[in-house]
Formats: sequence, structure tokens, C-alpha cells
Amino acid sequence: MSAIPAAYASRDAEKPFMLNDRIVIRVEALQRRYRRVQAVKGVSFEVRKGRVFGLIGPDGAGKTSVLQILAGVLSASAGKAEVAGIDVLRHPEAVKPLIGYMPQGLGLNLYDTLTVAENIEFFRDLRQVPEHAYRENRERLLAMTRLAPFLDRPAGKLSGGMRQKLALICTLIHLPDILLLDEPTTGVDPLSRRDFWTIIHELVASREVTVLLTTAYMDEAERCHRVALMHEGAIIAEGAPETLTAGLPGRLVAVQGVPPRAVFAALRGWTGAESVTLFGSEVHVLLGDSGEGLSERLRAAGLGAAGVREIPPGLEDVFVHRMVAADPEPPAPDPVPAGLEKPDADEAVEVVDLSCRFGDFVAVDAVRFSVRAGEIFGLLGPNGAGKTTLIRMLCGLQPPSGGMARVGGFDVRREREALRSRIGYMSQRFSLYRDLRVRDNVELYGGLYGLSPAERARRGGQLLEGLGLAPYRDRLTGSLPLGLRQRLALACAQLHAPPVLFLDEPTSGVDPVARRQFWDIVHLLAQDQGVTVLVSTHYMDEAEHCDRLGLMQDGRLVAVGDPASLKAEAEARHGPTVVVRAGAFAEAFQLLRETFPRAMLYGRRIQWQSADPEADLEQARRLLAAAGIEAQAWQQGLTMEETFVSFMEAQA
Amino acid sequence: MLERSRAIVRKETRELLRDPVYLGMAFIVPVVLLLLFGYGLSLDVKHLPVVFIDHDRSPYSRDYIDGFIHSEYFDFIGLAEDAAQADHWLRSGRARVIVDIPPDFARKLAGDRPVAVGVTVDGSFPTRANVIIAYVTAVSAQYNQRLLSEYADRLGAGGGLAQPLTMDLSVWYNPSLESNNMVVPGMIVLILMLFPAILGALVVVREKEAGTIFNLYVSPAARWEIVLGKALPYIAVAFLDYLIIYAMSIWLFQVRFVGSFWVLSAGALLYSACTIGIGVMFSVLMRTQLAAMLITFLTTMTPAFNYSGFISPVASMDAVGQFIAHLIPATYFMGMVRGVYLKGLGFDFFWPDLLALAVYTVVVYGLAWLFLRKRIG
Repeated sequence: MSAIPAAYASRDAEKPFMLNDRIVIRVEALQRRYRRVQAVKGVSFEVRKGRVFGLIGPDGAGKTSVLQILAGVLSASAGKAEVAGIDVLRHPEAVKPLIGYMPQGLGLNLYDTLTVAENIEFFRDLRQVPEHAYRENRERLLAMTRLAPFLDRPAGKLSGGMRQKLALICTLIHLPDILLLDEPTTGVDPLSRRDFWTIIHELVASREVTVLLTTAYMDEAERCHRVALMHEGAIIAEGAPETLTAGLPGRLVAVQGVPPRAVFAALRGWTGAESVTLFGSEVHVLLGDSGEGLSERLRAAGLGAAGVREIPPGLEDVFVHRMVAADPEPPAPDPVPAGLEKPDADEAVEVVDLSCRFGDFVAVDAVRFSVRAGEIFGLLGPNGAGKTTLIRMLCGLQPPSGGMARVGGFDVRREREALRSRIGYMSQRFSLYRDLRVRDNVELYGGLYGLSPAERARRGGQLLEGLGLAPYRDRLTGSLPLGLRQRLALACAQLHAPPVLFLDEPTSGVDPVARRQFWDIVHLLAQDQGVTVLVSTHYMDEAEHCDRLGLMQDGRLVAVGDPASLKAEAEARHGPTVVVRAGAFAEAFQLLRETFPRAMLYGRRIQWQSADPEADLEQARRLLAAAGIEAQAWQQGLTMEETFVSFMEAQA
Repeated sequence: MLERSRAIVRKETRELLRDPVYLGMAFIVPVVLLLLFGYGLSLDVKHLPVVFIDHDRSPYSRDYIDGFIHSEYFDFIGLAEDAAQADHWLRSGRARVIVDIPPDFARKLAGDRPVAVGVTVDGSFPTRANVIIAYVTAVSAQYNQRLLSEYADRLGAGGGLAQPLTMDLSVWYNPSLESNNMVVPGMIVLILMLFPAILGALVVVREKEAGTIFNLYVSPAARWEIVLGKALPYIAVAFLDYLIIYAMSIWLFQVRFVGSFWVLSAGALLYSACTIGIGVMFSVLMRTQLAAMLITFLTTMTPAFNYSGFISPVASMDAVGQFIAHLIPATYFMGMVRGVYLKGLGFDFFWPDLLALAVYTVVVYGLAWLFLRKRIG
């Protein structure tokens, strides 16, 4: 890692770090239309030099279009866009030498048959990087990404995380001052993600690089200096991550100690709550302006014994609040699939040393776990960890190379026919026919599962009603928003009332409101009907929705357990997180890193895991006070991502 | 100036060398195609299987049959017992023509009376059937000629007048009239049209599908640098193909070559550049590899096969055909290739064709440059 240039080391420098507030990216009332779809609806924001700005939102929010317009590869329909004072809309070519642009997708800008070294060389030659600058920068980037040992390996044979890091090297090799990164961390493993953010903040601190990035992960917001939440082509909230959550009008409380299903039923439709969300054994309630009347409401429902505690809101709560505010009648279904018969649910999933090999490649490596009936079991892991292959084996779609698995009591290898009638499978990206109407899809899947026409009509009608899809019965599936398609896919997977449901990344790219509604439905399925749910996801923050988790990495299950005990175990190993937030964060970082070498910069915050947090906090406060830097410092529990990293490191 | 093109050239070359599919398409498929066409597409009609029904079984009839057997154009399959057996052979393809000699063949001829021989020809390929009819007619005419001169001798009027006019025939440029001398050089034109164009059609669109196209779009590389960088390695590939096919035509197919290798190579280089350019132009326009390949195949191969003069001379086409012929580059190169191979013509003769190819090349690269927007919309 390179040293921070002297200019930032001294507080007496004439031009301290944060005072150089030149605006590098300016977007004003930007619009982009694709035929009939308005992808970007009058977006405005500014990014100052040396800042990390995050555009956060679900798929189809318009993030990529904004980035592509700024990179000069997409034209705008109206508005203004400036990069480094250059009008991108008029002079797109003039901008290109100044920027580094990384397109969406894991290392999609790489040439698979070229080696790591050759890929880097190509970008050097394409950008005409002077030799001396190239050599120094290459060394530095290879060291940061730890890719130096793999220089001769073809890019196609790198893991997802390594590809993404190589893609970053290629984007950075010409030392651009402005970085436009499109979903650089989506589906990347937590360790590579941590490396990625370290590199970004290193560049910001050492070269005052300006970064505009997009992400679908709400929990990444805190690593940006400033974020804008995008939804359906518009920015619905913008600001520093801390101030955004502070600006939430109500309070967020967790209700626990009573049956969550009852709390959910009691508070749903209550005007005092802006949102009610099931989280395992808890219900999170975002209270409206007053927040009055919660306890009365609970008492009235006979739930007076409930414990209520206030919890800090996350960015997703802000998102949900703004979405609800912008669209007072959200497409909220009554997420109670009423009147469904309770299937026989005494069976579950049992996996013993299950493996799957494709040639030399081990996709799933001796995985062992079991799922109790009525449990929500989450497979958490990055793209390429083996989640999909594992689920496909459990559905009898992929023959295992070794080991044994029973689902609902049936062997996945030998009793595939019997197995099929007991499971529902919702594949990645939902295998619905987009050119069919909603009811045609239901009809088709009902037929495929061998339901009689009468059953199809009854069961299909019930499910469409229960999942709030009845009004869309005659719509073309392709014309529905992603969140509704996701619910339709869930309906189709359940037509034959299977006791075990496999959901493969059901929430990828879906907006937060739809995501919450989806999880509510999953909770109700498990609680009311005893359906066993095995769900995979690469969103770390969705772990909280699951009763138990399996953390997957490179085909192996690195940990299994419920979220709280996994966190506790990781915390026992490496200690909790110490957080320092300072206005002059670059100076504070420079100062603290001398004493705490594991410290990392996350936006305005400096964090490290500490075995002795009390002592570290005290020392940090003392150091900062002596240097005259105003700062707050506290300790907090590990996030799921930090927990994952801890288990990965413990394995290695 | 050319550094960025060089970067793209180097990258393209590495990718090509490491991709067995592209490598195979670039070098193996053209060779296989040449072998298939060179050995398979023979326009000569020789060794036609013939079957006889000899109801006469006389010295006369055997004499007539000998006329067929001694010709290299016919292969004697056998004598059929009856019409049913002969029909069966014709239907099954063992024979292409049946010659039915009536029982009174010898008697009538000995009596100086005319006799009719039944000839049944497999007409499923009209060109071949026409050739068969011509050959049977020729063999019969020869037999008639003999009978006639014998008759004249018997009348005491024989002598030199039996054949009043004879031809002193010489065939130039392809003296042995072997169709390989025409087919194999023609294949150079077709192969250098199809494969370079299809390879060219994939070079840009492949990056669009993979997503790597953004590397080029957001780089400072100028549009012409991208087009050139993409085209150059494949022009080299096409030229290598040309050298391979040329070598095969000389040493494997023993095609007569009387012209200058340098003249032919100059034309091949320009033609390769042109066909690669056609592919690159479509590659810039299309969004998927499949679409780019299909449109390239339809717009290059079909007209080149039908209108370039590969099968039948351009001069014998109707006005529309000739118009189309002059719109496609293959026609110009086809004239050059045959002219160089068989007639040994040089630059002084071919400069209009080279000029036409050059204009064509400039136009396709110009269009590729124009269509490449470095933008997705």
C-alpha cells in the first residue's frame, strides 16, 4: 500500500484535504428515454473532487443510464451533464481520456482468453499510458489486489472476486482522476468486496480521485461520502448517509416476545405505522410522525406482553419511507395467502457430503447441513459460490458427483419423480414466459405439475388473490414490474402446494418495498403453513430474515448457524468493530493507522475490529484529541458481511 | 498515431490464436471446403454408367455396343436380361442411360434398312442428361458414318468423300478442358469471400455481446483506429488462407497456372481487405453475432456463388444478373483469378478490376467508420 502524499499528512498544509471542493461531476435535470420508457426522469446531483458518491437503487432505477451518459457512451434526451467542466452531451470524446469506466457484470470488460498480464497490457496500450507511470501504477495495483501471483493465468479462469479486481486494475491503469463504476460489488465475495473498498478509499485519500458508483446494496451506502437513492428514474433522497437516516420523520422499533404473526396482523393497515416487516421472530415497525398509539394497538390485540425497543433505522427504511411517500398506494398485496390448505410438513432437507464437479472444477464441495420442517434456511454467498448448483442438485435437476441428499424424505438421486411433486423451485431470474399473460403462466405451470383443470383454476385463483396478483391476471407477464414478476414466479412454484420450496436468488435486483413484501410472504408461508424454505441470496442484509444460515464460498459451506450465534462466534474470534467518525476523516485516518494498522476507511468513518475495544477506543480518543481532530468514536457489533469475512479468514 | 490500432491488433491476434473455434473457422474449414469442392464439384461428365438390352445379340449389335465401351465417357455396367432389370438399374442409379437394341437390328441393317435404337436417359439432372444425349448421339453418328462409308464402298463410290469436312480443333487456356482448372481457382474467390466476411462480422459484435465493447467506447481511441485494429489481423488471416489455397491448387489439384504469383497475390490482398471490411461493417451495425453472421452470409455468399461467374459466365447472364454481378466484389476478383491462372494476364490488363476492388474497399471501411458511433444509443 502506498503512503499518503505529504500534502495530506500535515494539518498546516495550505490547502487541507477537504477544502478543495471543486465540483467534478454535475448533472442537471438529466433525462433519458428508451422508446416508450422514461429511464431517467430529470435527475440532478453534484459530486465534488475526492469524494465517493453512491447511486443506490434496485434494477431498472436508471442508475446505469446515468453512468453511461456521463461516460459518453449513451446520449441523453434532455438536461445537462458535465464531467471536469466538459459538457459530456456535446463533447463525449473529450471526457474519455479523463475517466475510468467499469461496466456492470463481474469482470465483463475482460478478455477471457487473455492472461491477467495481457489484459492489463491491452488497457495500457489502448490508453497509451507512459511507461514509467504504468510500471509504478501496475506494481501498486497488483499489490493492492494481491493478483501478482496470477499474472499468467487466463482471465476466464479467475474466480468472480479476482475478475472484479482485475477489471478494477484495468479501469485504473491509466490513472484516471474520475471513476465511474457500475455495480462494482454486486455478487462479489465479501473478502474481495472489502479489498475493493480499501482500494477505492486508498485512491481517494492518495490521489483525490473522484468516484461515482452504483450499487444495489443498501448497506454499502455508509462507505460513500454521499449517496442518492434512485427509484424508477428519479432520485428520491440524497445526502450524506448519516443525515439521510437522521432525516427519517418517525422512529423504527422492533416488537418481540409475542408471536410475530399476530403482531403483523394487528399492525397491518394501521395508519400509525409506515411499514411493518417480519424479521424472523421480530416485527420491525416504522412509526409515522407521532409514533403514538403503538402500545394501545398491541394491547387491543391482546399482545400487551410484547417488548418494544427502538432500533437505529437503516438506509433501506429511508428508501421505503420515501417510496411510500412518493406513491401513497404502493402495490401492496395482503401478503396472507388466505385459505391455502396446510401441506403435510413433517419432512425437510438432509444433505450429507454432497459434491458436484464439472471437470476439474468443484462447484459444490462436500456440503453437509440439514433443514427442519417449517424453517427458513438461507444460503448466503457471492456469485459462483455454488448456491445455484447446490439448489439444482436438491431439486433433482443436477446429478451429484458424490454424497447424499434427501428432500422431503426422498433421495435426490434415485427418487427424482417422487421428489418433484414435493418441491417447488423458483429459479434465478424467474423462468416465466414473458409473452404469456399472468393467468396463462399459471395455467401452464399448473399443467406441467399435472394439476387437473379444476384444481388449476381453484389453486391458481387462490394464489393470485393471496399474492395480490389478481388485478394483473390479464396483463402480459413481461410488462409487469420486477417485484410483481417475482411474486408470480413464487405463485407458479407453489401451485402444487409443495411442502419444500427452493428459491434461488429471488430478490436480486428487486426494489426494497417489493423485497420486504416478498420476505413477508415467505415468513407467512413458513409460519402458517409449515412450508420449509431454502433460499439463496447474495444480499448480506437479507441474512436477518432467515432462521438459519449457511455461508457459502468457493463451493464450500464455511459456516452454518442462526444469524445471531454466527455473529457472536465471529465476534468472539476477532472482537467487535470500533468506529471513528470525523469531519477531517483523511487526517484522522492517517493518524489512527499508525497505531491501528488494521484500520480501514469507510466513507467518513474509520473502522477496525478490535479484541480489546475499550482500550482501543480510549487510545483513539486520546490520539484524536491531542491532534485537535473532532471526532466521535464508539464500538458496534459485527455486520453479517464482517461475520462472513471472519469465517472465510478462519477457514484459510 | 497507430499505437492504439496496434494494441487492438495484438489483442485480437492473441484471442484468435487461443480460440479453437475461431482458429478452426479461419484455417481448417476453408481447407476442408476446398477439398470438398475440388474433388466433389466436377463439372465434367465422364464414366457415365450405361446398360444395354441386346435383343439381337449379333455381330452388328456387339459392334455398336463396342462403340460405347471404348469411349471414356461411358462405363459399361452390363447387359440386362430384360427391360424390367434395366429399369431397375436406372431407377436405383446404377445406370444413367439404357440402350435398347431391337431383335431385328442386324437383319435390317444388313438389308440396308433403317432401324431405331431405344435410348432411355435419367433426366433428373438436366445438364447431365443433355451431355448423355450428346454423347449417345455422337457414338451413334460414328456408327452411322461407318455404315455409310461401307455402303458407299459397296456401291463403288467410296474414297475420300466419306468425311468431306474435318475440324482441326485446339482449345486454349484449358486445353484438357478439365473443370478443376476452372473450379479450384473459382473456389479461391468464394472461400476468400465467405470466411473473411464471417470472421469480420464477428469481431465487433462479439465484444458487444460480451460487454467488452465498452473498453473501446470509453477509450480515447479514434473510430478509424478501432476499425483498423479490428480488421488488420483478419486481413492477415485471410491472406494466409489465400496462400494455403493457392499452394493446394498448384500441388494438390495440379491446376494449370501460367500467370504471375505477384499479380494474383496483389489482387488477393485487396480482395481480402474488402471482404473483411464487409464483415466489419455488418459487425458494427448488428447487435448479435447470429444476426451479423446471417446477414453477412446472405449478402456475400449467395450473390458470389450465383453471380460472380463461378458457375456460368457473367456475359451469358441477363441484364439484371449482369447488374448484380457488377455490384459484388467477387465478380472482379473472379475475372482476375481465372485470367491469371489460365491466361497469365498481368496488371496492365487487370487495373480496372483492382480499381473496382479498391473503391469497394474504401466504401465498406468508410461505412464501418461512419456506423461505429462509440455509443450504445
